[in-house]
Amino acid sequence: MIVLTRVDHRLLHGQVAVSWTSHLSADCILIANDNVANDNTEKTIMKLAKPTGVKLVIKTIADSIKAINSGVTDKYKLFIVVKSIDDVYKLAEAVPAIKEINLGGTQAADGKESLSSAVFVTSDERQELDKLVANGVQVYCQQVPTEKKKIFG
Amino acid sequence: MGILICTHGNSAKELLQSAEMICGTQKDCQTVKFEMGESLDQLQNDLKAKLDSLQGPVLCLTDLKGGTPFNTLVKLIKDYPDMEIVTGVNIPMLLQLFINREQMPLEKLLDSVIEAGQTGIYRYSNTTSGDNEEF
Repeated sequence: MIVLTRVDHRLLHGQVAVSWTSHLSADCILIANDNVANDNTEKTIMKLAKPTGVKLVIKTIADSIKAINSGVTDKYKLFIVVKSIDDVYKLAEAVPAIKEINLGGTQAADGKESLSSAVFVTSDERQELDKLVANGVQVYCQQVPTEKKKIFG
Repeated sequence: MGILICTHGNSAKELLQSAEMICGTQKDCQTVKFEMGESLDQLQNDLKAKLDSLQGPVLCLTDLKGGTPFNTLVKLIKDYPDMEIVTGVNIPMLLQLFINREQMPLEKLLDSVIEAGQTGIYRYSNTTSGDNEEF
């Protein structure tokens, strides 16, 4: 069962590893990211941030889609973390089980629209989010569990 | 349960703010600083005022065993018998405390806070296994 799918450009860091994982009682974290899956230093950093007692799996977006849709993750309380809106779009389009997307943080840059104090999107990314919402996915900004959800769309 | 963080200088407030960055704003959490040249009476009065503002048993976290904030808290135990004192306060301890303060019984919470503080100290060496976990 997927307990949360979060977009966070810092992937597994304090807020995610400590606050969200314990709030969700997740027993497995899936980092779906092509770069990290192919970079040993990035992988090591993620492994060091892993909370005790929680399984951490790192896969490319394509392999993540295959794994989730195969049913092999069903037995876990699975917490999926991706880096970008483009990645979450690819994932959610291919995985019907993703009904909810938490926007935790994306990099600010000139020309990006601000959806919250931590979430910034390009016009292309906004369109991807609009499509997800049109497909019935709930999208919201929420940085930490104690903060109120800000629904998108 | 209330929480009080007391340190030499301003680190109590800064530690609280750093931990709140990670796990969100905390209720019933006070900080007290002990400044250079401050009188012991002043510190004791500050601590009492903050302790009185908190409900239920209070868990006090302080920086240094044997330091003035710690010694003053120990003296205050006779007036606040429900108070717990733990030294060596650091961010992992605060996170453990903030996340579990509502649901864990006090004794278990104290043990887990101390464990979090100890295991948070770690020397990185580039030997982490390359093995990947699978589903």
